[in-house]
Amino acid sequence: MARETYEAEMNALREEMLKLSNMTNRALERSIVILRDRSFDEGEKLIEDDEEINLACHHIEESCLNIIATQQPVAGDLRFIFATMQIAMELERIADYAKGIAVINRKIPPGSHIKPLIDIPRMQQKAREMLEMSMDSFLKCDLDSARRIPSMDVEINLLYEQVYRELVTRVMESPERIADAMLLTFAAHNLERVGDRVINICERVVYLCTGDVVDMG
Amino acid sequence: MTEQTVMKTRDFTLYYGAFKALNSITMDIPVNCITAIIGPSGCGKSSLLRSFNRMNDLIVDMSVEGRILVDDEEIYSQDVVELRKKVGMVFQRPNPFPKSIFDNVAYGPRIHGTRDRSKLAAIVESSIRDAALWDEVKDDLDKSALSLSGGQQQRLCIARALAVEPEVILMDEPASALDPVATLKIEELMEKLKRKYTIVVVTHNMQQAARVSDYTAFLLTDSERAGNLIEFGGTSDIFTKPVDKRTEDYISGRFG
Amino acid sequence: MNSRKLRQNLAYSTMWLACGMTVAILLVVIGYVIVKGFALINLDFFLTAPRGGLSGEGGISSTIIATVYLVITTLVFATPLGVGAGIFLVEYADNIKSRLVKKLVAVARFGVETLAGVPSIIFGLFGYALFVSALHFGFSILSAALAGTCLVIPVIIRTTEEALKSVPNSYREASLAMGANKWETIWKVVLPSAIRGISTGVVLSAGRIVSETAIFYVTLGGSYRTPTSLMSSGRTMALHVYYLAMETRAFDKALATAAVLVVLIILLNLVINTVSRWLST
Repeated sequence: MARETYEAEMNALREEMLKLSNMTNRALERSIVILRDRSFDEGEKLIEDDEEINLACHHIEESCLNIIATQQPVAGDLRFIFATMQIAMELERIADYAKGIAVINRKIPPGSHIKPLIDIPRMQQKAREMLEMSMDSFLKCDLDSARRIPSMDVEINLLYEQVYRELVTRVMESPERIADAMLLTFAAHNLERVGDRVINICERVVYLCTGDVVDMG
Repeated sequence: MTEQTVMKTRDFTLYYGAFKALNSITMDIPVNCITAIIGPSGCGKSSLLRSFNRMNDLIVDMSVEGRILVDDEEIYSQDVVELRKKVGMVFQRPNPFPKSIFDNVAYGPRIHGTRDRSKLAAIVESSIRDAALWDEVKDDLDKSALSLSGGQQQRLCIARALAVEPEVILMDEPASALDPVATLKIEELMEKLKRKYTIVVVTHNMQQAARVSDYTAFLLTDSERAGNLIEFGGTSDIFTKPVDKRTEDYISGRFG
Repeated sequence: MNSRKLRQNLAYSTMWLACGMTVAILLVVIGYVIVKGFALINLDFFLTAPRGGLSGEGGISSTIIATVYLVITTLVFATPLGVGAGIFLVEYADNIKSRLVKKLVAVARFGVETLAGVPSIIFGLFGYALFVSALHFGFSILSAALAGTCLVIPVIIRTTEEALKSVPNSYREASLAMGANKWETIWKVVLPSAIRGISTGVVLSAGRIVSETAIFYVTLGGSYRTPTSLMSSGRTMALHVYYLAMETRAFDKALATAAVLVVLIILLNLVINTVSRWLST
């Protein structure tokens, strides 16, 4: 086969992206467990582990630049490299949101939350589902899937509004816990932003498959 | 494509005896642009290029079907000498005549009737300037052209072609016999020249085609070993989102 | 010493011997002629005409003039014809589509090859039959030059062909691509490049004419007088050597003439060598 080194480098890049997305997915999962179980030690660990994700993202960027400089990719390969660089950045941001939730957990004093967490975990579930599907469509260049995923974001937005309204109600009942309520809102907002980031990923996948730049927000 | 076209081919087919070398090529060459013709070896790129200025006429047993038009006139209805004045050519290996630099560049104008020495000198100077060679040779135009380096000789050949004031310049792998620095000089020169002329360049070097051209044509042989035009488009489109899979495979280096 | 080494040394010695003998023969012949001949050479020798008759008195002035006259006349006929034919064969013949013309060209090529090997006396007899007798030119510079033309044309055609073929095709392409037509290309690019090769052929022919005897013996006649026109008879230096040796007692004068001839030939060859070396730079 022509250009074996090139193919090997491209495959290695795919592997790294898969690993990065798994790490990000895990971080999201852990962040909600931390928030729900109020485990501060786990929270610190998650914040530390974000460093690993940042390094992985930078390494992917370096690999991409390297391939551009040494292999002069064009057409589909070039779009893949470009999309990879952008999606890696999105994944790193998503991981930052997860870290943000752990930071928020730190700020809320120990004890149970102002209200039991039901919708926030559901938002996280949806977001992780969207993330997995979008990464799958990226690695397989699945155009149809990439086009369908953004509509799932509607659910996350609805859940976010619901969380917001309920927290407002709770604050009106117990005004002294307004700080906690605000922090929880921020956490939910982080998850809502994850959904938006996944939509960005889907836009990059469409670019990868067709060469067209679209806006699916 | 929004530009005007200066040359077109319509279902152009070329035969060497019974062998079909080019199959029904239809394309438009836009004016004041650089159009690159790429494709694997033997796909007919040079044959197509040489058809534009009827250099193929030199081959015994050659026959054509279809049409090529320059300035909307069929090339076989035009006087071949006038055609070659309008459509000049630069070859793969620099081929200056074993004469002085001045006589090389003045050759074309002299053939076409210019005798006045001062006029010739003016034409020679402006052509050599346009070919980005003036500063290197201005002190001794009577030196033999063969004493120049490869890259300089090629620029001299370009100056020679420019001296007859063509509309189109055909370049058959103009830099393939040159070192990288000389190659880059030729590419820069092409960028400058396209403001006044139209350039069609055949190249083996894909990065060169991508760097230098505005439009790219991709040729490939079919099962009968005849060259076909697979895709023609803006260079940035061809190199970021080609339409035909064969184009994508070729430019990604997956064959050829 | 083992047998392999012995064989090698033997071969080496044999070849040395062969080479030595060849050089020796050359030196002896030329040396004898020059040494014996130079004794008689002085300015008078070049400036007086031979007196004719059995005595062999006089010099070689008329023969020098006759030789030069003959060489020039022959080349005037042979060069345009030969170079023209060469140009046609190389530049035009292969592009002709007509079957008949292609056949004619093949015959012409074969003819040129054959003529190059024909003994010069044949040309002499042909020249006698046609020019001297049938056309009533008689023994003259004209008859001899025409016969000489037949003799040297194959050489000129061949060297012209080689010279033209060695001009790179890229020059022709470059010229045509600028809008020159075929003749302009030949006249302004190809011929100037080929001129050195062509001149080698011409100089070779001149040398041939200077050294030929049989062909001019039957076409030039043997007059010892200085030729005054194309129709005059005369004798070349080579012929004079023969006449002196066979018809007079002045064998020493024959050697002197031969010495002059040998020096002339050597000079001509030097010219050819220099020109060829020019070619390869």
